[in-house]
Amino acid sequence: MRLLTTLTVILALVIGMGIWFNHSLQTSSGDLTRQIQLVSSTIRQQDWETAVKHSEKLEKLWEQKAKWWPVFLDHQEMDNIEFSLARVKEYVTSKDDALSLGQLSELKLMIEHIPRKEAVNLTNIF
Amino acid sequence: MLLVIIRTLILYATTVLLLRVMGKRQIGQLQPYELVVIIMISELAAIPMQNTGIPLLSGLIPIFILVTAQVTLSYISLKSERARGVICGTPSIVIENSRIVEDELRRQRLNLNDLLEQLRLKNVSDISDVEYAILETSGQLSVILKSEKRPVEPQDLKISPEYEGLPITLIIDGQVINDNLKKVQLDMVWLQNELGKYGIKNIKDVFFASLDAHKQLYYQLKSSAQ
Repeated sequence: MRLLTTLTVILALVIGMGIWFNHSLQTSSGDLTRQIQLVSSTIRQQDWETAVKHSEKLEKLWEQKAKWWPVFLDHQEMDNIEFSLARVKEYVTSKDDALSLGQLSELKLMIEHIPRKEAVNLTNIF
Repeated sequence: MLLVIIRTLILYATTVLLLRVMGKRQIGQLQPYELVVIIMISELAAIPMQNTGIPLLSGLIPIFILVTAQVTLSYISLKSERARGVICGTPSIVIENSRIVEDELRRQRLNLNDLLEQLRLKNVSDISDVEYAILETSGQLSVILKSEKRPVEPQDLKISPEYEGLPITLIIDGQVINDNLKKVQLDMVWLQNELGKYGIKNIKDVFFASLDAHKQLYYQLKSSAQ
């Protein structure tokens, strides 16, 4: 019975960790998406100096928020986001609005896709 | 490369630990639900081992969940007879009073050749010798022979054999097993004296020593000490 109790406690911790992870994923992804939208809107206003600053902030935010994501998520997906971030940085620095906006849109989709993929719903279960 | 080594060791250690948690019974005689767990665990442990792109937790958490589910089912089947019937199934009598129970055989989808093969494996060549043959939930066949066909036991001959007990291991590879020594209420002084009687001065020279129920010491020296 002691074994079952121990396993149940660990299971409760794992479930708790899962709920916390899903919640954190949602919050972090929301923060990152808002930052991406900020970069996009400054690019649309042709304010490249601010756009560069915002894109640098986006990179820092990614490092800060997503440093623990690979513990739970597919590493390939993380790598794809990092490659995309590097491309955004270059396009913004070279003031290419079409490529910048296109890449930001892709990045936003990739980041939004992660919590959607991890959400507990019937579509994901089946 | 180093990453693969570390991940493999972590997965191996966790799987061994969790299989130990599942208990000794599981390895010897797997019930259907236990077999499922073993197959799934082996697959779950192998995938993150090969692919470093998959988080280690994606393998470890399902393994843990499976073991927890398995332990829970074991407890349920231990406490409830009804649940045991559902989870493990019930034994089936396939031979009763030397007659093959056709319906049961059909229900278990066990053909006659398989039944005869299992009987032969139990050293039974003639169905007429069998009182009962029971197909256990683990898939093994238990055979109960007719009383006149059973091997003779001392009880049948009205003989009372001497008590044999279980020999207790006292020394393994030069190391004294103190717990066993305490169990038989003896100490190191006694052991050294006893070995001294055979001219053994150093316990480290003994490869193996055991004590039977009549306090008779059996020993074997290491080849280097002979």
